[in-house]
Amino acid sequence: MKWYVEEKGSRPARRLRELFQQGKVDLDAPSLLKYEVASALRFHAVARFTLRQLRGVMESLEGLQITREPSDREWATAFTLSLDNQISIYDAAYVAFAVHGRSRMVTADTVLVTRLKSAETRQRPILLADLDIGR
Amino acid sequence: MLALVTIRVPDRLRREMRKVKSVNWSAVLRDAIQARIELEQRSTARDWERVRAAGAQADAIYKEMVSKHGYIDFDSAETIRYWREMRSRGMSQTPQSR
Repeated sequence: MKWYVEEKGSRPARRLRELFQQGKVDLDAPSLLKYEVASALRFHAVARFTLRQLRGVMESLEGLQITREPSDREWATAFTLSLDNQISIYDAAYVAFAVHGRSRMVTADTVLVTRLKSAETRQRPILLADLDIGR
Repeated sequence: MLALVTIRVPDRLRREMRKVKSVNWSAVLRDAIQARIELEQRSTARDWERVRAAGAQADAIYKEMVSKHGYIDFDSAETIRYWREMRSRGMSQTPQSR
């Protein structure tokens, strides 16, 4: 979202994408991301995207090649995390990628971060605002 | 068939590993190696020229939106949270019609 409109957190979000394009960090997300971005842009409270721009957003997300379907093991992890933390599968799918990949889950969603209480999730989330990636 | 792989760790780490007897360290390492292989494969498989073109396309849309709206005092993360809550409806079971 923050790659396409200038709003709270756009600067670190764009910097993160820039680092990815330079091959300095890897970005990996469930395919759900595309549906959530499409829906959030379509129903954005302020920004009005044209059809051309909406198609461009989806094209660029596809071109960045950062989304994929979860593996069987990631699905299993997502279900476990959903049960252990009382979070939705939509939330758990993202966290499962981070747990399985031993990576950090960058998010601007403070609600999700406060809901993650199980041991395996403790080290995973990092708020976009806390991301120290320079510039 | 499992192959034997030897890794070296500092003495301090070895002592810490011994303290945590319930952990199957071979399984932990297998998972870590598997995750790293998947990461490397993803990175190698990416068409980086396409990635850069997609980045430029995203930048172009961003610039158009900035020229139209400027800075928007809003956090889209809240929109996504709203829709996730709507879809999961407070984690209750899906109501049945009969």
